[in-house]
Amino acid sequence: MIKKHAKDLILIIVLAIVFTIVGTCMDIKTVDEYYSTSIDKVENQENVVYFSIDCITLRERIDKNNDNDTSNDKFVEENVDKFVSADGIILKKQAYALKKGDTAFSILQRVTSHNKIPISYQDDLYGGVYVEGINHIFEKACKGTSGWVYLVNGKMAGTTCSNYILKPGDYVEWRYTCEFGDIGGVK
Amino acid sequence: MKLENYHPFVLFAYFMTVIFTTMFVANPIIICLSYLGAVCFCFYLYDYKTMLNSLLSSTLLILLMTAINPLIVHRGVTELLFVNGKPITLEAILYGLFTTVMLVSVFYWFKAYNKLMTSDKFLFLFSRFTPKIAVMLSMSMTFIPTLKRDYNSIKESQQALGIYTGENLVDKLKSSFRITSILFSLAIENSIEKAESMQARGYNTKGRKSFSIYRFKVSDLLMLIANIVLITIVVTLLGLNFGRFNYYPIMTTPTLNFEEILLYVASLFMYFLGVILAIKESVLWKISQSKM
Repeated sequence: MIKKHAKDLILIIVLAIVFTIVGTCMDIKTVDEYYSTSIDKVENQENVVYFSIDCITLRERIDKNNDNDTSNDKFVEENVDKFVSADGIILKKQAYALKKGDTAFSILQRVTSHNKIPISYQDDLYGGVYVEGINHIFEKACKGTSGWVYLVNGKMAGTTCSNYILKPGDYVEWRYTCEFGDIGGVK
Repeated sequence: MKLENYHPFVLFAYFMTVIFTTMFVANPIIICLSYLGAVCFCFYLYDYKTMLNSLLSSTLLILLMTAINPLIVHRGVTELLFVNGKPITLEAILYGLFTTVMLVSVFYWFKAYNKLMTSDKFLFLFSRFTPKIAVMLSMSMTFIPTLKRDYNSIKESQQALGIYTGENLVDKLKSSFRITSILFSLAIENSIEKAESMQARGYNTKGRKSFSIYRFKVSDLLMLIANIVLITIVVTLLGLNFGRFNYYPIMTTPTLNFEEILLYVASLFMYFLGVILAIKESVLWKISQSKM
């Protein structure tokens, strides 16, 4: 009887091991737990970074659509405008305490979860992180090359956000681009 | 008259309307109507045992896809849980659910299609216009049912030879892998043989007609007109943005104004046409029996 089902038993054990490994890799949090991230108070004025999120370009495009501006490239995804505030700013420029080894992505994650702003990101194939959406505004809401980009001190960094290590005094902006060249001074 | 007794053209038109409307609509109400209609119709066409088996496997598929979609897509405003810092949203779960129900209902429509549109009916319709494509399509339509039948016959012969062991799960899996590899080589061989045998029998040679007993009657015309009226109502209303449904980021709350009720009633009749005709027929039969 046991000999007959020995192979079955091995299969079950292997499956159980796989499931426990997957289970331990998963870090499950409730919504309240996730958003209850605390942020260190700014004590030392030198060890801070400035941080802001905006989608002013998207606001301008929606406004032009409402004014029936024909020169405007029209497409904006349905329902996106509900998440764009009147001035297009999602989070105002503010100083945050810098932790050791903070990257442009880790500061985004910490600040947004503290301010209850949902973000969506994916780990890309090259060990970096791609931020798809912030505050329910996703990539390709204006078709084509639209999406979220980050600037450090007004310049595009040219590397993935999870690898860009911040220095004290840096200003990190997460901005939405509707088409190539509308932000960051590149024309 | 039952749906299966109508002219092949009417049948083909009906199946194309139901399959295509199901495939291109995101509205969960219409998808559910299509699913229920397809399943009821299949219950009428097939016996209970095969239907219950396939319902079990399709429900498993639905559950699996419903579980997988929220792990990949993180859109939607109603967050339920956070796994590894990524939200599991209600919208993504429902999107996975309804897309798979749509997929499964198309599967059931094809199941019904295969029972009613036999390959001779299909060839009768299309062999005159596009002989090669007609044969190819009819072969691909019956591909899965043929595979299933062949699978069982190979399994039985292997069991009779004593090669197939079903004592434990691992051996069973090994045996079924072997059967699958045999099955595919058989399928490739069959497809070549079928084409050659069609050629040998003079398919599509000049002056040769195929025998058919199908005549286009008045009842066929009435049925076709009813079908066209229903599909026109549904397509026009959908084209006018009624019953439009978005999942991301906020789900549309379904409204019920006059046009949308008309849309749902029309699609109800469209998807339940075969079932309605079957019920009508059996009721008439009961009445005429009681008169005897």
